[in-house]
Amino acid sequence: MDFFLAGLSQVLNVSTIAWMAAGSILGILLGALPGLTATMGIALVMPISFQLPTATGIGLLLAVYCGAVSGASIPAILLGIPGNPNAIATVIDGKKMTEKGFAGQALGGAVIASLIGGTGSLICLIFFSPLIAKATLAFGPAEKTTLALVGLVIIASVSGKSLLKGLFMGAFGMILSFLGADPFSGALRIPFAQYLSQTPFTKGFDLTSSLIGLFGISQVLYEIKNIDKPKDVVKQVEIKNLFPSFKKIRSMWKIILSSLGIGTVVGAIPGTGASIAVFMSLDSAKNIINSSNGKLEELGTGCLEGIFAPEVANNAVTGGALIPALALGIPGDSATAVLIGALMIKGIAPGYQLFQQNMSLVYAIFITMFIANIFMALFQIAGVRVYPKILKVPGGILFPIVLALSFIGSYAIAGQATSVGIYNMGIAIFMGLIGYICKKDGYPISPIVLGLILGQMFEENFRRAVKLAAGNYFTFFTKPICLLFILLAILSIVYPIIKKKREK
Amino acid sequence: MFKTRKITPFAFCIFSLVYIFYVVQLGDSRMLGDSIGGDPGGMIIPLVLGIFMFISSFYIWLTDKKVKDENAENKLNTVEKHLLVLTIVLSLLYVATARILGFILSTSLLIYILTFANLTLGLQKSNLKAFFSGALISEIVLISVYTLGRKLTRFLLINGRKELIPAWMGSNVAALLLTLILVSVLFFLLNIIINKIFKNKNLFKQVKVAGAISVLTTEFLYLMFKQFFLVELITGLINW
Repeated sequence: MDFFLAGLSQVLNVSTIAWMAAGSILGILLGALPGLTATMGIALVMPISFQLPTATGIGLLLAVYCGAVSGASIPAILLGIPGNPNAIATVIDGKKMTEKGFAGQALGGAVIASLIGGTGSLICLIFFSPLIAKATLAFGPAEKTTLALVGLVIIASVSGKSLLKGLFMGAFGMILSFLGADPFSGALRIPFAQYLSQTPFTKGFDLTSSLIGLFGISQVLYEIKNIDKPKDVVKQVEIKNLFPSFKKIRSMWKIILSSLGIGTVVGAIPGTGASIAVFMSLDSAKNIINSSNGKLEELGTGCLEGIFAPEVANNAVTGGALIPALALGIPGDSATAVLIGALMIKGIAPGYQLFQQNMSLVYAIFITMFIANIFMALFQIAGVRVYPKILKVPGGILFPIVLALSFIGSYAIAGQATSVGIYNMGIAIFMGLIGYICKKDGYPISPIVLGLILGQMFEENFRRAVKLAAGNYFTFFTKPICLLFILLAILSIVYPIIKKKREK
Repeated sequence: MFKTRKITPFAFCIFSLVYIFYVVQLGDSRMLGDSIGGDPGGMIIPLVLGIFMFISSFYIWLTDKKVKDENAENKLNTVEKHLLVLTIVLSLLYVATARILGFILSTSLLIYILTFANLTLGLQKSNLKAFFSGALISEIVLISVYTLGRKLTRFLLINGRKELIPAWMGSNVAALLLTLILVSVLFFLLNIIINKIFKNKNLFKQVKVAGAISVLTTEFLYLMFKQFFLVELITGLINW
């Protein structure tokens, strides 16, 4: 109880609430604008979060995250274009409801579904993350090495169309994380060390600047292909009767529960993300509707069932993805990867230590997550008539602003050190170009982030484990937890290959 | 052979090879105090990863062939290519000249040029006159607004500390808000004047939007990061 109250006191102050409110509105806008993503939003506000107290900063990031996931439903319903891939399944029934004159009900329903999904998965997060974190007590260097390996391999295997490209990108991220000083000997591991030993390059690749480049700058470059395309026009839609009846919502309880479960579980599996969860939830909803004897409406006809299933699921992913992130330090998706990066830069290591030594912060994170969901619902309802107007803002105006924000964000991380700031901007543009080339050629970028985050953890623990085993490399095969993780890693490589062969 | 295969995996292949040579050339580094041995050293993981990257990129290069009309939606037309190159070049210039020009000038120019180019679909010769006059006006407006904002902020903070004005007015947040209000009012007035002067000019809308976006965004970012978060932004040419 003391920890809860301590966590509450970190959150319940004017500054945190104000920043979260701003973050929530910004998140909804970012989610609503096609081409801008939740991860990009989090990466862009990360430098701001560093200037704030930890709980306030995390609250700001969570507010952007929850807002962006939910905000993507606005263009999906009004235009038939998802704001980001999370709302890809909302398009089907959302657009039809708008055409039938029920845009208000669709938007309101999406908000309620998002709130249910977000808060429902938060309960799972509160319940499961301490339990999983406790299990990590048994983890030594060998277990941590294989845990990092499994996290990397899973995200690499599911985040793109090609397993090999994913693994390559993971390895690429890892080698970037090795730049700087050797963690054990302190020897410099940078090219042209004799010339660059007095430069910020010795500190390696700044994580925040890399994330800003990968998700902010690369997205700006990637979206240039749409600048001269005519923008979809939001027709004048009458938005009335926002809230669906309680009776209707109650009749969909099975769909809500199944989507909540799917979203949370899928979110907790590293690398999967909301775009998978929404289709699984639609599939499950289809089965529930088929067995409802006509009490529920058929999907694809412009019904609330087709809004609730994906919207509950994609917001449930937010809480689900935080379970492995907080408990193990393994992010569930690229957005939580950025959140972990934010925690790590603040000097907070996710895992059992966090739950044991900083329980008040854990509670603060839970509370901010709850507030973020409430704000998301409040601001989305309040601005339901305004957001469609914002969809008219052309990318040609937005992208230069995003670019400038990306540069100043990566510069600001350095605080007072000008040369470090300029170096960070250089990293941001380098990673932006890498991200652009990868996106263009179908290489997933999430594994780079994982590689950057987990690379050092992997190397340090690998060397410790082998050292403790007196140079025996087979030590990883002598421990049951390690074996389990290795098996999981092998499965996550083999399964997509078998699946692909079967499909052929 | 190169015509049918993609360039990215080939580039990654070369990169991996260079990385392997770099790792080998760097040599091994052992844990401090590792007298009894057992430390695998700092070379093994980078080397294994380098070899894995080389093999995988080589395999991708061999198997991932160019397909006609593949990723047609990703192909850029001339205008888009022009805008892409412009964005990349300006970004590089932004980083390279930030120290000389300073935050205010470099940021506003970056935003102005890109917004204008995006709205007019590339910088064309016929637009250059409008482009340059717009750039000049927006820089003058920005520097005026910035200077007045700085004067107001200094006045509030210094007099707040000396207790010549109410304490709340001398706080960081109040100074920020009051400066924002002043900037908005000034901008609104300038907007009316500029509207009257250039009412019937060609390209007026694009120039106006680009100018307004560059002035407002730069000033907002400046106030947010410099005055609220106390980040030491580069002053450059505008050092007052």
